Amino acid sequence: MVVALALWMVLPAMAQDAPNEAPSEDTPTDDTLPAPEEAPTPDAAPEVVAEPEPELPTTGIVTGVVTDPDGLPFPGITLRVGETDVITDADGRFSLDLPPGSYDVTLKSAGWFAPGDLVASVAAGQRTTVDIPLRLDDADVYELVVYAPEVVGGIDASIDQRKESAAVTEVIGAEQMSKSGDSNATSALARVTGLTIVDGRYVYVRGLGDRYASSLLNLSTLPSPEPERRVVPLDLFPTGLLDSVTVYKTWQPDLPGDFGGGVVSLKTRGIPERPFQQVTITSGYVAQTSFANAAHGYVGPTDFLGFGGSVRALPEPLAQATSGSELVEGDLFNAGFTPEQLEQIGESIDATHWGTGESTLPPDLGIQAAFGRKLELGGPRLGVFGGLTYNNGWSLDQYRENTWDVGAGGALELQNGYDFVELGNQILLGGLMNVGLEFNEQHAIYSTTTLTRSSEATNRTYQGFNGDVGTDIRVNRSQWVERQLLLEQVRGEHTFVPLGHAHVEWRYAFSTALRDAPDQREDRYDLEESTGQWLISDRPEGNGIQYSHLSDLNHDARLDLSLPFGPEGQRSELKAGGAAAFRNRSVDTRRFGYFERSAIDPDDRTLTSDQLFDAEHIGTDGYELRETTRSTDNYTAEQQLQAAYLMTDFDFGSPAPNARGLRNLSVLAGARVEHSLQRVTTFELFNPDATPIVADLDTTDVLPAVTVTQGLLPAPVEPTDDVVQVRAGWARTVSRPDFRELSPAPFSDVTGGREVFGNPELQRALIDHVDARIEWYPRSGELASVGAFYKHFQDPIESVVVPSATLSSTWENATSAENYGIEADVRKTMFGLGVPFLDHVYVAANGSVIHSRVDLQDSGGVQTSDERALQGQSPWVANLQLGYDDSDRRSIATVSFNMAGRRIVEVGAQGAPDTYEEAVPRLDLLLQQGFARGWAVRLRGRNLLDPNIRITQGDQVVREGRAGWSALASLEWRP
Amino acid sequence: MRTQLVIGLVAGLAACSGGGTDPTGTPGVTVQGVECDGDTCVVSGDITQDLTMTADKQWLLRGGVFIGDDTNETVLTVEPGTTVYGENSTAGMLVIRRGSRIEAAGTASEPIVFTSSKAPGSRARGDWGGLILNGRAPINNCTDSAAVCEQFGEGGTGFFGGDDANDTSGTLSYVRVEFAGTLISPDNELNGIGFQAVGRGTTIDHVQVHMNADDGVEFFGGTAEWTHLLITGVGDDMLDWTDGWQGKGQFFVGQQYEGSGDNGIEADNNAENNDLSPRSHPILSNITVIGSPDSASSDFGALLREGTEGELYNVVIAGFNEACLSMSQAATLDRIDAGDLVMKSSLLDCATSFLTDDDNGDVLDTDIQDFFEAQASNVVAAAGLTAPFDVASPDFRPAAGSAAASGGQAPSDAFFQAVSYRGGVDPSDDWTVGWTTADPN
Repeated sequence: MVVALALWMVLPAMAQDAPNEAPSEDTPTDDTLPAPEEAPTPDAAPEVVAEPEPELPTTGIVTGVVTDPDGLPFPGITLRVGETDVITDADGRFSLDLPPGSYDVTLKSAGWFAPGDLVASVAAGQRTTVDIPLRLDDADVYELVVYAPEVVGGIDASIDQRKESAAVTEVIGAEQMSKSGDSNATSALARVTGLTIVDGRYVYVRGLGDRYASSLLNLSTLPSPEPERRVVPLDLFPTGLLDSVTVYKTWQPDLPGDFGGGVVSLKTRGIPERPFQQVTITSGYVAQTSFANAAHGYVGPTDFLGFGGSVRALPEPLAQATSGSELVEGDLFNAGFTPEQLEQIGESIDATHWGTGESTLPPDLGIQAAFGRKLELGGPRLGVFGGLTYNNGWSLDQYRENTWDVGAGGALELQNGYDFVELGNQILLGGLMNVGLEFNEQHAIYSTTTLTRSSEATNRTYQGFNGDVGTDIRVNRSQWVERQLLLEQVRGEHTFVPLGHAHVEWRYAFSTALRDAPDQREDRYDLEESTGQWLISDRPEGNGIQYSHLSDLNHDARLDLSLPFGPEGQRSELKAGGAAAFRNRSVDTRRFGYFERSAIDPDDRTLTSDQLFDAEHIGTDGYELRETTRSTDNYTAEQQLQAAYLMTDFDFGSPAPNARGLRNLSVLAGARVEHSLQRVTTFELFNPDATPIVADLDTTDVLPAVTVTQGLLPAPVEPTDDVVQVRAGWARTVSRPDFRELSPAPFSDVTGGREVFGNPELQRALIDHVDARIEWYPRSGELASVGAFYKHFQDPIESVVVPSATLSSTWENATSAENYGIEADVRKTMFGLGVPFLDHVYVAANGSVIHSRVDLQDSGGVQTSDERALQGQSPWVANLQLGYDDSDRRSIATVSFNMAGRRIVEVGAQGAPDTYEEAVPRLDLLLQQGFARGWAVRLRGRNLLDPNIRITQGDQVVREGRAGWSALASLEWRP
Repeated sequence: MRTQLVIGLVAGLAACSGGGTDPTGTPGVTVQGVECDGDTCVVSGDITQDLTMTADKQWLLRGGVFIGDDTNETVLTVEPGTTVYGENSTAGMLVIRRGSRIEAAGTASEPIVFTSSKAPGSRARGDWGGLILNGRAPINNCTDSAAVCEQFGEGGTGFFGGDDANDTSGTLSYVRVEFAGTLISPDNELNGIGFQAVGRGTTIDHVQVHMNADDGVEFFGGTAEWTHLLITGVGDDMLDWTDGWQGKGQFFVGQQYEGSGDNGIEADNNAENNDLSPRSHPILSNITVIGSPDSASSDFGALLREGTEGELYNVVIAGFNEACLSMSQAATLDRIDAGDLVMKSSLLDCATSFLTDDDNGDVLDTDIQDFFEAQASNVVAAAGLTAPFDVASPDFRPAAGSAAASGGQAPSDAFFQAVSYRGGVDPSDDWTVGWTTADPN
């Protein structure tokens, strides 16, 4: 990190001495996981060879293969031959039918440059071969050899990555995210086949809950800054810092064994080959917030930068009083504070932080800047990419929320009905620094430092009838939450040519996730119906102040070895590797509240909290501060994991002749052994006599996988022939409980909700996955695929509702569950229909139909449905995108539509039906136009239909409200 | 307020603190989880050996103290005159697990007191946890009728509930529980005594809950029977039942203090699903609940709701701020029509007699009035108790010639003592004095 920061400061100055070459795109480095490596076959200068071709009298054919610096075929790159564009296919080949003449051949794709001057001479009836071996000098980056994109993170590249991958993957690149107008990783993922986004930040793959989705950043595991989840909220990652997001939907032995629905693999932007800089400024109108008046909580002086923790820290007297001990009054048996001391401590909490104000909200603002440099060090080369992003956005949600109980005859009766107003201010701050030292073509070392912070101020008020209290209540909560994720990764790549081109990759990552939620304030007022006055509640929930802190620390190391083997022209490979990880989490929560040491003057109950909890009312004859921290609020947890795998990707070769070198039949097979030890320790902070509750889960599993890919006959002969392939696979993986699910201690989420307690008897679940997919690649940039999958879960971990005075939930291993479905994906360009406008138009659509069933018959609990769909699973998901992309005119227009079927958001209990979120459409629009040199303007419309989002239970509405639409304009400078 | 369950803290959280030191006074016998130093014995964690708390020592409950292991019987005996302190800093609490017993039989002159570890004068509601009895009698909190219904304690105390209506959890006689009701989760406190699936084999008489932060007593299902309960100055409801309580009780007095307290009686069948069975159906006689007429928090003398049944005789309700009698949920009205919700020989004495607590409009004020007026010997009148609103030295006896002094009739059931007065106290014999307290701190 220190090194990276130093370089950050030094390099721009150094880089000014570097040759200033033509503008380029930034390109990613590293980490395209299932890449079958192949022996590099370094090539010489481009060769232009003409051969006789007697059958065609009026035109000639220009064909050739583009290869990357390692000599591997370069798919998806756009060439311009004369005035005609052509894109290489999966095998790096292109072919054009042209009238006789002499044509300049140039590489049109940003990020790469054709070596030297290429000219193709076409003679009637002849085939002209122009092979283009790209050299490192021509590339921004060379690691992406197999999936090397047209535009880095581009759509074609994404398609090709998917085609080449032995696994079933979905790839969404930076270009696609930008065309959809997506601002963070989650919104981009909403467009991927079979994915649903929950709460705007969590990814459900094929309808499986966030338990079954894990995240990798540059192939290192990411810690989660959420105390109740292990999944990483992907809205932490601004797309500006991402090169691509790959979703692995099938498992292979070099992926972590804890795999359910998929792995979301984020790849940060890499090191550019040429000087690069970019600045983007975005601002926009958000229908419900911009220029609106809204009530907000306390605002600190540096909140707008996302740093609001210090002004909300425990006040010094309270911090001292609670350091290592409880804030408690002395008693007959123990020393403690005197009432007078408690008064002083209670008064040290800033009463003004209770206050809410109202202000006019500014429009959203975003700034992104990035730069890249590469320095020649006389042999070795040093590259740097840095990016910074800042976004300040607002949300104002107004919705109605009802809770229902089962009344006479099974009818639902209203228990509570509230109107919510929730103002959110999200500040996203991200920084990325990539440094690469490339010694030569065989050896390189890279460092990636990523720091992202997502800070959110929320002021939530709800008011309405409460069935328990029997009157209207009004609850206000203001909170400030900072989530931060820091990852420092070092990795190296080494190819040993004398050892049969054995390839070694190692990586080590250290990462921390923090969640800091200081000084959360909540108060409740009850309506006194006889007088119409709102009176502060005298119940413990009448007021509360909470400080919560989570830190999660990860060490993650892995080593991957690959050795190509087999005859020339086949891409067989043996891979082996190992991984070790250590993860440690601690959660520390302190809760406080003012209690009536002696009764408060009834007239004072009408005062607002900032007037009530002040020096005048705190004292031995009034309010007294007490600690209300739960005995189970604090825990530590750790996981140790060791794994080793061996796999082979065996290529049975192509029957000759096969002009496209398609892999006719290949088999990927292997296994992984994984040992995991999880330990959760919940301790009573204030009872040193108490033995901590320790829950352990120690498992070792052997996880096999096999995938067969078969090119369908007839084998393609001409480069323009379609490619059709079928793949099918089986794999077995595990799903382990999350830390907290193992601890029997009852928890109240610091984020609110039902009381939950874990189950130390939980076992890991075993999942068998069967996948089959048929894919048709008519030409580069186009695809059509249909896939089917089936998953069987043995002992799946499911949330069950258990009876208690208020319903609680825990987790159990259900008997079994299954999840199966069909996915289809089409992308079609209108290129070549003879209508110039349509040449730039494409249509993309995907959809999935998913069925799932979990059997809870043998589980305890009082959930209404003992057999139901998995919680959070939509039975269908559909995405549609219509785009126009004219790179000559620098115009882009995209309309995106997304919709997912109704899904269970909460499992019903005691005869009450399950609660569903109803399907709603989402429509987004992006318009982009370049002008002058290096400038572009972008207009984004989000959620333009602004539908009424409804959550229903039986025939009743649990929640409804609109999220609001927005229009944002960006100005980008990218010389 | 709907009362929250009280089960307790976490079983495992509580721990044993090494070898014990001769707590029973029997040479050579030590009890795991008990450490004595001088006159003070600290009790913590799981106690699975029989233990006698003697009056010559101060007993301090540190954190959750659990008697028994939910299977084998462990007996906790508390001698008359013993004081047991619930530690304030660790939220001390005493849980009697299923299959085990507490034998706390005090006397009028030597009551057993469970109280705050704080010094008198500094004590307040919620200083410590409270007393919880877990039994094996039936509860209704399950939708699956085939299985024996068990319920998992919110606080992680393990299960309660079963199929033994005659189960016993021991004896509570001349026992006071004071200043308890600590917060167990962010908006959830413990009741003074939680009777959770307690069976009718348990002896409960002459018990006072004083200055508890939440309800005085709450019955979660079960068949517990009792006489002579006194609830004073609690922060929520005085007598609360839910989840299918089918017990009996006679002689109950509850008194609200100004500025705190919700309902006198809060009666539920099951809040999540009003029609679950076995249905709450207690038979109660001679109840006096006194509200705080000028206190905004004082709601209803009796709130019958969530589908409860029950038979209420000789009830006197006076001085509640909102109304004497309230009902809600259509499922509750249905029980009137079925003849399973009964109130007779009762007296209401509030500014407002009937007021619905139903936001759905299923229950109207007139429904409640009809319910009350249609049944025998019910009156709306001045009760004429001697000094019911006096907090320092109350007197709940009906004055001679008052409306409450006559018109009573106990149900024809051998459990009940024959009476001719209404309310919880005999005009000629005040059981609420002598062994009780009215000290607010």
